[in-house]
Amino acid sequence: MQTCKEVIDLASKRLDSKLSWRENMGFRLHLSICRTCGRYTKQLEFIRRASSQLDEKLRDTKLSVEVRNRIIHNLSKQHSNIE
Amino acid sequence: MPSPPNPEQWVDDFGDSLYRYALSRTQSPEIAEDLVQETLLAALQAEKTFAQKSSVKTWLIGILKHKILDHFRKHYKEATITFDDSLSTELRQHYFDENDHWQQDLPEWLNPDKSLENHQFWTTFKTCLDALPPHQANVFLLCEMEGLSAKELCKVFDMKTTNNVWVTLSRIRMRLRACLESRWFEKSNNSGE
Repeated sequence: MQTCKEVIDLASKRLDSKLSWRENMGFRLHLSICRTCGRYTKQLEFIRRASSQLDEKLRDTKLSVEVRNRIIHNLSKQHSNIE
Repeated sequence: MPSPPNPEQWVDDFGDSLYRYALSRTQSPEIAEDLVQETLLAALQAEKTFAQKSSVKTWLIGILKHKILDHFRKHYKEATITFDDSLSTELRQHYFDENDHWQQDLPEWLNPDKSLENHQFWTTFKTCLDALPPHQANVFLLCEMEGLSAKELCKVFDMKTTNNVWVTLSRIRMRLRACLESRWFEKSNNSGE
């Protein structure tokens, strides 16, 4: 039987990789009797869902005028050097 | 390419999207600025090779993705950060008893997905990301936002094994979870939302 400490690593690993048959069986068996690890697993799944929305939540980030001008300045300089 | 691009036009057309993309993945305004500049410079130089199979924006984001990975690869090759299991003592003391079982039950998060629509939740989420040690935030964001596999993360961050990557990600998520719980869910549960 896996310990809770081992199971939380599996709860994370299964988000990034397919668990082996053995890992998966151990994980499911443990979850069927441990409510806390079940909660933990659900909460990690929520963090995954939230992370997948990060790009759209940042839409209001813009270049400041200062940075915009600096980039244009540097680009024009370097670009004309090459041509 | 319809007309020869000029740098100013490209910065105005694509600067914001590129900057946003770079900033969200590096969390550093300075690095993001450099990467946007490098990307546009590379694009201006390679403009003739642009095949018009994709939109200009997709093409530029493709270049930027490479630049971001290059940046981290260089940085972590030189850095002497060891991604190890060092949180485990902290972990054990905080959460687990001597048999590696939970010391206490975790509270349930009520309607967590409702939080995704709440503007303040995102401020908290970003605060929690910023609170991670920088190298952990880097690993997490490239995993979640770029979809890099454990094998790819291994190479970029100069880590030894994929198992190393999985343990690191597990520790990162553990921290994030604890941060969200104390800064968000405990508060919103208390206020009866």
